[in-house]
Amino acid sequence: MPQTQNELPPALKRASEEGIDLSQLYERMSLTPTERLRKHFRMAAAVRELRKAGQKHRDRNRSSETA
Amino acid sequence: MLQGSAYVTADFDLCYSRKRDNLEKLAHALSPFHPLLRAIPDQVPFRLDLSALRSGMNFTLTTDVGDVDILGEVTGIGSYQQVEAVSEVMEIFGVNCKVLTLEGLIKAKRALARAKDLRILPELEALAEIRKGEKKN
Repeated sequence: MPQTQNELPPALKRASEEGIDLSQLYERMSLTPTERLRKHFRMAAAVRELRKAGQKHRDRNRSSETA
Repeated sequence: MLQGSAYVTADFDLCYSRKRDNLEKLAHALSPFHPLLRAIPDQVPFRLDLSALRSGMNFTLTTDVGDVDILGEVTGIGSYQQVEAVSEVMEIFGVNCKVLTLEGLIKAKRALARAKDLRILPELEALAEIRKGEKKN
């Protein structure tokens, strides 16, 4: 991975300026397609759990307000 | 995602050949997952069979295993044969699958030009650049 912004090829420089985390892209490119999918599934499961926890929290707040 | 994108997708896009025998195979393969048209009221009767596939081209479906889009044509690229020409074979969970190359994906996203497609372009172009660098080394 190039070290400085000036060393980057144009497409990488543009991506970096757009706020894209290049280290994440290099890391994903080092994985096999199956590993990339597994990572996605883990992330999707984490998002589902966060959503559930948020809902639980809102429900708890609502019930304490009405009590 | 298969090409390394960090963007999370909520559906699965599948490009299919419109040859008659393939349409039958596709309808048969999807039927256990109870495909229904997405964003269409439940009361509209729909059965994904040979006749439905022949009368349409691109279908956005909801199934028991998630949202699946089946595409007879991909915008910016064309029919299954043209999509196949810009695809590469990837082993996914032990099965060899044809997946659109980064270059093909970029072409399709540019042609679609919706806000969500344009947003992802800088990342795809960066991934293509990384891939190019890997091939050189």
